[in-house]
Amino acid sequence: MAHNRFLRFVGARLLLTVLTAFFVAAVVFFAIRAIPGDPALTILGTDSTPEERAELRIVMGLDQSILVQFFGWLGRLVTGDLGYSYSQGRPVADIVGPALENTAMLGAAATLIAVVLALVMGNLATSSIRWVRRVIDWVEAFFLSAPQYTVALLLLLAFAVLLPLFPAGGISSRGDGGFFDVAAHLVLPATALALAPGAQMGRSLKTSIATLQSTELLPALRARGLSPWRLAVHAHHNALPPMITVLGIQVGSMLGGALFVENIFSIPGLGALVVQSVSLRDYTLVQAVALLIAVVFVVVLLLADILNALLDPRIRVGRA
Amino acid sequence: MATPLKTAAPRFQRRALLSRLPLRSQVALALVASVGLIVVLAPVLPIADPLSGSLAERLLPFFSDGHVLGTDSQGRDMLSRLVYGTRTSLIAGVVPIVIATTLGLIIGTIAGLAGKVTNTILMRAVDVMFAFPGVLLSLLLAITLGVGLGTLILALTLVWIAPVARIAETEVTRIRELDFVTVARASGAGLPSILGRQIVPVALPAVLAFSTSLVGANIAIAGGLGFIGLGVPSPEPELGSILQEMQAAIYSDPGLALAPVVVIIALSMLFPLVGDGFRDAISGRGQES
Repeated sequence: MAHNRFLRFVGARLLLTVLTAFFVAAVVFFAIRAIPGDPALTILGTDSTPEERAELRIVMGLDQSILVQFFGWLGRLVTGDLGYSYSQGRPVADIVGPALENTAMLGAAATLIAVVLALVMGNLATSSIRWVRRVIDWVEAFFLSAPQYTVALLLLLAFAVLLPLFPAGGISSRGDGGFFDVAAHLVLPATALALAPGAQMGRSLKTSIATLQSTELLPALRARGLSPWRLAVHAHHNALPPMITVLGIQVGSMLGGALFVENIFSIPGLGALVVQSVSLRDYTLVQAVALLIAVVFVVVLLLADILNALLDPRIRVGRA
Repeated sequence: MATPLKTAAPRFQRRALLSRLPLRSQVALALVASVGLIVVLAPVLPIADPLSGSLAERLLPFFSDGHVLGTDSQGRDMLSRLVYGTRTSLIAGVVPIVIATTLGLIIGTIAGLAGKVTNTILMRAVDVMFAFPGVLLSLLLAITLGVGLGTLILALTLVWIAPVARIAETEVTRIRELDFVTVARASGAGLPSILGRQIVPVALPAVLAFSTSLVGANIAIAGGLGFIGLGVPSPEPELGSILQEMQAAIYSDPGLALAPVVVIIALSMLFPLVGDGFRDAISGRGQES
């Protein structure tokens, strides 16, 4: 019975995800297609003949109706054909793969830092010492609002220029690329992306701990002789579902922030790729990368919801 | 046991609300007002032309002769660039939120009052819009429509309709079940009257507080687009593009590069401080600490 409900929840959520992905694909496709100018002219340059351009338009399928083009594009996407990048002279899939890997590493590092930050801030924010709470209040306001690119520049200035602890850019040193080398390269950019999600999750944790502190559950558990460690587990357990929801939503802002942060730290990821392909006017590449970023976000939102439903049975009973 | 019905829609007293604002929100509000004043008065203030400079005077340090905040990499006065850049960034920060709030409020109110089917359709559409990272959406629109202040405003408006609609829907759904709405309905008030007198005025403060906070996030995105060259085209000063121009100077003149960073962070923080203060004052929270 409960199993059945869970499946129905996942089914409904999956349907919404497919709809969303379709909408996102349509926005990306038509936005790129609406760019004024002739793509054939952009690719071949002004010294090409009209015949050459007409031929390329046929090769690219631009002579067909826009809907045929859209569904053809969707169909090829499903089979893994992301198109051909004219600026790099390679299939888009070959370019996007390594970039996705780098962005995924950056995202994983940022998530890790965000979780640690959330645990620290959530606990300090419910401290019994007043000035600690006040300081955390201000830190939280700063973390939540300061744009990622400004934080990235501040970190770059502080810990790569003035106090050269970490490398100023790239994903690994030449000839190295071991775990610690990559980790050192990721610390600053990942921190820049982690502040807002960390503070946001810390807020959820703070609310959860504060709610628990206002009930008699904790004294009761303490009276039963539970260790402080077990008490802390109880306090943190309730905060888990809202923290996962917040993290899922914040992945969107991390992906958006990666556009700026990857550029500042010269990390060859999806964000840097999309900005670079915009300036090269390689719209096939922009299209593919923008879609990939949006789809990653949609899938993360889906996973967060499913994880939450697994953790908290009340969610799957409520609304799907 | 019957509880007395609340038959009148609650009214907010503006002065009382202002004094219930936490101190730091009051300070933030005053700062926002001062920045707004400076920016409006910029053309008559005794500051240099933000567009003209000589390369002989490039990257002058703080407190140079005639350039309190130094000059940028093209020798233009930094103070003046920042003042005019703030003006552009404030326009790009506030105008989209005003439009998005209006549209989001309309969508949210319709969804909140309509039947289940309309509500589901509208709110699922909002969910779908939500699933698009805002930066990405505005980037796509910027390359489709070409860079410029108009495009920037349009793109950012689209980003913020969904969040406002969601908050408005929650508020309206909550309010329509309250006693004073039922009483108004029972006494024969029509839909326009209930909407105009009972629901919208009561939902508005929470929505406006939320929108005020959003201005900060919006300024951050607008600056980011300027930073990657998709905001307002140069030489027009805009905080994000100023930051981008000064990025290279971070190794040689960190102080100069920091000036736009500080302004962007300050603006991004001030609006949430004001908005969250109003939110807490309305809901009667935030009295502790």
